[in-house]
Amino acid sequence: MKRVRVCSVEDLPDGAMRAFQVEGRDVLFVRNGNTVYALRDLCPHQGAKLSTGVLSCRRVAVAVGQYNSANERSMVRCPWHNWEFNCADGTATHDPQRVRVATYVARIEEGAIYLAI
Amino acid sequence: MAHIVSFVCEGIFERCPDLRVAIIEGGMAWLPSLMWRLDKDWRGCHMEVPWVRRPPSSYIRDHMRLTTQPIEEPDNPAHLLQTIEHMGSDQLLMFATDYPHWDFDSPQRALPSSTPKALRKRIMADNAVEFYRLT
Repeated sequence: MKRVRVCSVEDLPDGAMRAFQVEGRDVLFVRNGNTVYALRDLCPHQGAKLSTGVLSCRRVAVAVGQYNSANERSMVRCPWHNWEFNCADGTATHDPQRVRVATYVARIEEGAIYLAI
Repeated sequence: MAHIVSFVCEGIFERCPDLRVAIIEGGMAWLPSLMWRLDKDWRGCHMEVPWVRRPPSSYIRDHMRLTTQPIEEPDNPAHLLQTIEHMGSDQLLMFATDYPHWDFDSPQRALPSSTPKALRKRIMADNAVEFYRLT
């Protein structure tokens, strides 16, 4: 596994997502403070680029009819059919056991973002 | 159809997990496509109905039953059996006559003669016995 420098930290502001091509792969990076998530930039449903979607909270219901939001900017939502994926592990909200996007290990080190690929 | 969507998407079965609903005299051939459509759209609309925690079709299979009268009568009776197969369960249909209306369905003729024996028994008896807890 290689460790590849992707960009400087300033190129991915806190709370933002951005796609980079790394070693020929389209990878979506999401920054949440000092944590960076990296996912394959491809929705497994019909192939849309997740980077053209939106970052969102996870909406949950503690009871029927009550909306609650949790984990701000923890989900990326596909622009085509609204499928949601957890940025941390790539799992889809509707079927986390069977549907997921590939994830990679990304880290901030010495002012830059690195990807293990 | 609208009632089924409402029951599921408004979270009635999450709120009342023991509730069972029989939909009568509404036909049944439309149910498979309704379940396909509900499941498909639920995948992208989860944020609008987060209390619907599993595919809508699973709530329908667990809580709802349809009755046969007025049963659809395609030119090829095999198509009716395919439709039942598309429901993904042999437990969703209960025989009904609509008696004493003039256009009631006969117990001997309502299902195609090619209906497998086990499926016929399910529709004609077992499903209602289980749904109404007659045992």
